Amino acid sequence: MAMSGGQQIAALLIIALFMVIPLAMGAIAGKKSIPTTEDYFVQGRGMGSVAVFFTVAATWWSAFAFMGSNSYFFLNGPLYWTAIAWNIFFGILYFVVGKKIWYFGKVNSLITPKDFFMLHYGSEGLGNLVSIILLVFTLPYLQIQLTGGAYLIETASGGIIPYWLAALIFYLVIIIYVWSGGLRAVAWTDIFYGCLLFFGMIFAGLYIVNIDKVGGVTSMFDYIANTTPEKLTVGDNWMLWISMFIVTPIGSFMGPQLWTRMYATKSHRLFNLMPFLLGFAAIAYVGSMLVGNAGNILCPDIEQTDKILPTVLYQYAPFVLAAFIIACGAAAAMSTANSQIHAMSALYTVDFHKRYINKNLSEKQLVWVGRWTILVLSAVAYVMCLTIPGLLVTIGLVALAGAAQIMVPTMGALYWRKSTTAGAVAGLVVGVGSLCCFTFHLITPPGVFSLAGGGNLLSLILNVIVFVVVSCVTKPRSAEVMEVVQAQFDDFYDGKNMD
Amino acid sequence: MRKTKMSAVSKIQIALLVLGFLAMEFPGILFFKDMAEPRMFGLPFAYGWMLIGWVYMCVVLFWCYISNWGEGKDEGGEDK
Repeated sequence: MAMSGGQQIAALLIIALFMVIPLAMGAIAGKKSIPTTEDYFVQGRGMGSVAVFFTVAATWWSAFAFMGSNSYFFLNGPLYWTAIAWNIFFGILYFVVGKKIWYFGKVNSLITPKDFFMLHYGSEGLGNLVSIILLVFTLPYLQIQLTGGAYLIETASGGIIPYWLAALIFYLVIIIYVWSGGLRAVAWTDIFYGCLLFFGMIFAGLYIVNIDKVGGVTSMFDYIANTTPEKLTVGDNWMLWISMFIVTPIGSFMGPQLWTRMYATKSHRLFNLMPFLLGFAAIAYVGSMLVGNAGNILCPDIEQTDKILPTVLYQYAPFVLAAFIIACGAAAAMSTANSQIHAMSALYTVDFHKRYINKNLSEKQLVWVGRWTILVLSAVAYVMCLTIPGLLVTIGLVALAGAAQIMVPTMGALYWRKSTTAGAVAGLVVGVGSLCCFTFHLITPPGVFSLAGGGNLLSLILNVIVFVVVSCVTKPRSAEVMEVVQAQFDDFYDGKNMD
Repeated sequence: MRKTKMSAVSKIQIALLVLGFLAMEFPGILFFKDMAEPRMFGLPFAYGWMLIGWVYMCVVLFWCYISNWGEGKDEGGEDK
């Protein structure tokens, strides 16, 4: 892909513009912030409806969705189309689980997932285990945002900005505005990113499918039917189809960045609307579906399939339009990465530093610890993105499968009185342990679970089984804990303390 | 945990949502995993089927929202 000097300058200007806007938003958000952990990490629990929707949607849709989905449609046909259902499932989780998490967070001033588990199970050990699992499995997901964003900036600049530098710039920008504005800065920039992402995905698909060489939807699928008909059906990937539908939304929903957003929401009414909004927004995947399938005609021999979108756009779309849509992709990656860095910083600062390293820090000092944590975690993710290769979706699915394990004790806390701390710990140990064994090929999953995606699903099923069995034979949660929790459940169902 | 009973409307809404998920996900592995025809809206069968499921689920979810799901008087919460 050769670019003229003028095009290179224009590309760099467009990239610069997309970097400056969030920086400006971060600076303004920083002026509104108060130096307390509640303001820095959960925006004082005052996040309004528009900000919540866009920050949740933009955080949920990542490089995984914007770039990885194109690659999956290209390689595996309709397999990724199960995303339509998992988006709706994600939205319903927001109502069924999220609203209760929000309520307990509001009533008890919770900031991290560990706080929630300590409230419901009365166990600090379980809380620490949850925090460690979330930290470990969020890092690879953060890595793929950086990788995806760097791919796009490298391609958009015509190679002037190499991959390593693109990733570095990408992260410096995030660090600066999250550092200054905390969750408020993240939410504000996510409104900007969310709009770009939604319209960028749809527009890219509609544009590409209508270029002459593709000739429209019918013509595109006629071509695929004649050349690679196996790419028109789910075929032997049915286990992955089911596994992704279950694991992806649960894993994403249990990510620390989503807990932060649930705690930060101002009004309970938004939880009733989110399933519809998030489900409706799933239609944006039509764009990815069109791009991925058009890749069979436009670049059938591409080697790095995660780069289909920028490759196709630069070959077949007007330059400025291509650069603009690619910047939308960078927005997808950045909107998720900023949220993950911010939430992981909260986990470390509140759950570990404040608790075990220095209990006497003031609120202002804790915010500073959070900022330095952002710097360190970003550096780790940066090194990972330079040293650990892999398809965006493949890495993402393992990371999500790890975070999804947290759903089991969460549902136990909210819906099953007999759930116990021992059951929760045993389930998590078995679930995460089996996931690691399957991922690193130490054990081959049995039967149908040996198919692609089966290991991720089986580890979650094992977690559920162990959780239920151990909970049935171990000491129940203490009467004191249950009394406090039940009183708050009663208030929740009576509609008390909602506003 | 919940002590009050769920309303009939809420039960119907949940049943419709579960039905929608089952229809979207399981025919994908039981019936149309190897089907590309007939096309729907110009798309291979799997794509068209899921789009119909998406429309159905959006309609049900919108009904859930306007009926103030989970917060009616008979749910023990505030009424709209």
